[in-house]
Parts: sequence; C-alpha cells; structure tokens
Amino acid sequence: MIRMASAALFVLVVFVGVTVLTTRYQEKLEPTMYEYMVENFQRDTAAHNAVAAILLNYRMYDTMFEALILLTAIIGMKQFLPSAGEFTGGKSGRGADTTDWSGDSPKQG
Amino acid sequence: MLEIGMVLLMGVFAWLTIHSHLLRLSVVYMAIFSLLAAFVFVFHGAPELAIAEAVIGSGLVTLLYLVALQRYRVYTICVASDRHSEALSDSYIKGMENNEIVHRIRRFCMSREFEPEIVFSSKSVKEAMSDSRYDLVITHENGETHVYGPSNSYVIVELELMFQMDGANSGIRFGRYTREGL
Amino acid sequence: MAERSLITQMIVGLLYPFMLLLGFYLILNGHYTPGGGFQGGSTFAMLFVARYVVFPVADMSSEHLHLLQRLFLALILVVPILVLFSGFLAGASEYSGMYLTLMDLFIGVQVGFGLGVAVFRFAFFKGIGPSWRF
Repeated sequence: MIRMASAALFVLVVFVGVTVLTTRYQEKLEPTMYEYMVENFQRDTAAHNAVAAILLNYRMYDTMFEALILLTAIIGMKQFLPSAGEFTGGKSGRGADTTDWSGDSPKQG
Repeated sequence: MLEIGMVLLMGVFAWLTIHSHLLRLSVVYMAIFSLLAAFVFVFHGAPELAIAEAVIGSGLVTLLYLVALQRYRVYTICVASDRHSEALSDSYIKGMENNEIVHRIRRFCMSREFEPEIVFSSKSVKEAMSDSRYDLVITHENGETHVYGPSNSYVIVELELMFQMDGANSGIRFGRYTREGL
Repeated sequence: MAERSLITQMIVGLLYPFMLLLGFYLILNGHYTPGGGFQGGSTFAMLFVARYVVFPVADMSSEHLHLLQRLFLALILVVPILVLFSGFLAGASEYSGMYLTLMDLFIGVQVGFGLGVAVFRFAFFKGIGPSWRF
C-alpha cells in the first residue's frame, strides 16, 4: 500500500513538474524550414493541406520508408503467427504424449 | 478548461484500465482513453493525428483486443485418476481420449469457442478441485463418470443442460464445488 | 462457429457503408482537408475487422492481400522516383494535384491491406497450446 502510494505520488509530482516547466518556460527556436514551408507549400506542391504537402512532396523519402517498415512488420507477423490451415503440426498428439503440464497455461481469468 | 478536464479524465481512465478486474472492461476503458486523446489532439490543433488516433487507437486496436480475448480462452479440463495403479498408462489415456463423454465436452467447448485442454493428472479429486488452474474436473470410477465444476461457473450449467437435452446423461453425474470451501 | 449477437451484426452492418465512405473521403480529400493515405487506409482496415466480427470465416486469403500490399508498395516506391525526383512536377504544376491524390490512394490501399493481413493473422491464429512448436 505504501509502495503504491509513493509511486502514485512520484508520478503526480513528475506530471505536475513537467507540465509547469513546459508551459512556463517555453523556448522558441528560430523558424527556418517552418516559415519557408508555410509560405511556399501551396506554390510548390499545389496542395491545400500543409501536412499532405510535407508528407508527399518535401519529405517523400520518409513516407516511402514508412511504407517499407509496415511491410517488414507484416512479414515478421506472417513468420511468427501461423494461421489455421497453413500449419497443422502436432494436432493429433495433444494430451497423449504429455501427462501433466507443470507450467501454467495462459488463460483468461 | 474543457481540455484540462479531458486530460484529467484521461488519467482517470488510464487508472481504471489498469485496475479493472475484467479484461473486457479494461479494453473498453482503453478505447475511451484513446477517444479522449483524440479530442486533446484536436484541441492542440492536430486534426490529422486526431483522425489517426480515433481510427486506430479507438477502433482498430479495441476490436483487435476484443477478437483476441474472444479467441483466446483456454478451458482446462483435468482428468483426475486418484493414483490408481493403471493410471497414466498409455492405454488409460487412449481410453479416456476416446471416451464419448470427453468427446462431447470437447465438442461443446469448440462450439463455445473455448480451446479445450485436457490434462491427465495423478492427483486426487480434492487436490484437483483446489487447483485454480483447472476449470473442470473429470473422474471415472465404477463405470460412472463424475464431472465437477466451480459453483460460480455458468459453463457447467450449460454443459449439464446439453447432456440432458441430448439424452446422454446415463452414466454421468454432475457436481459443484466452491474453492473456498475446500 | 457460435452464433453472433444480433445487435452487433445489425450495428456493424449499418456502419459498414459509412466506414467505406469515410475511408474514400479521407483518401481522396487528403490534400484539401485533414486526412490522407494512412488515416484512410486504417479506416479500410476497420472494414476487415468489421467483416470478421459479422462473418468469422477464413474465406479471404491473406496471401492475396499480402501480394496486393507488396504490389502497391512497389508503386509507392516507383511513382515518386519517376514523377517527383525526376523534376517532372517542377515544370508542370497542373499535374501536382493528380500526383498527390494518386499517392494518397496508393498509400491508403497499401496500409489498408497491410493492416488487413495483420488483422486476419490475429483473428485466425491457431493458438499456442502444448502442441506449439517452432
């Protein structure tokens, strides 16, 4: 109980501290790319939405490799999650060769 | 003002997500948390992020969690043999696997989308009942099969009803137990 | 398979066309209003989940979806190289809107099919039991 209360107090103090610090003492950096993009994105890319202009024109490499990362994640998922019908090993032997499993089987409580 | 209230509510729902006893309720609290996060994004002037958060965090992830919860329910059935001499021999296990009652229970679990796991144990019935890992205890003595389930489980009621409706309840007896009482 | 709740089926069936419409709106208006390829694609992935909630049948092959995802990834890689990096758009700004819409559409389809494969993998996962071996 004391551990939980102290943890909650710690989280609360950090939350309040970070919030106060970031709202009181803001530091503005010099706007260089920001100003250029906001002023010129309509002329450069004919987009009406600055985010679309940045994602699909100014920072196209970023979007391309983001798509590549998604493909990599899906390939890993296909590798490690066999779906029904593609993987049929050991279905008939369930329970016959194992007598008592000492380990916990994960299940919903 | 509204924004501060939403941030505070996010904290409340994050606490509820961790501390709720039902996983299903946790998932719903997390969906509400994501929706509040999307609103906070709108207040901070990031509508694109808000759309992404609302669609993915509140829709896709919630449904994925619910699907996973529904798919992943393992129902552990313990076959207690009470240290008989022939217990846990291959012929005993084969006979129990081909038992008609065990087959019926397995089919029932499949129709309810549980995943049945049958455990053969040398424990006595009382020991198996007090083990919280097992959801159903089956024992076989003098030609009669006894099926014991926890008294707060609705599955045992449905199972008994299914056996009665199929008219297959000749060699079978059902019992309830409470874990605290043992 | 166990029968599903009628309430879920009705509500999901009612929402299905609107989700399709929202996905297309987010993708096709991505360069005018908030939205874009990723958000629209995620909405398309929601369609796969909704379909699973109503019809939990593995009649859609995840291999085909994955093939389509790889095809559209190739398009995402090839089209900017041919159109954007070659300096073609700098001289012809009237094609810029078309290029943005096309790229949003490609990204949307790629993300939608990719997340759809992920959803089907999770939904029809065989389960980790004692028979699980690598």
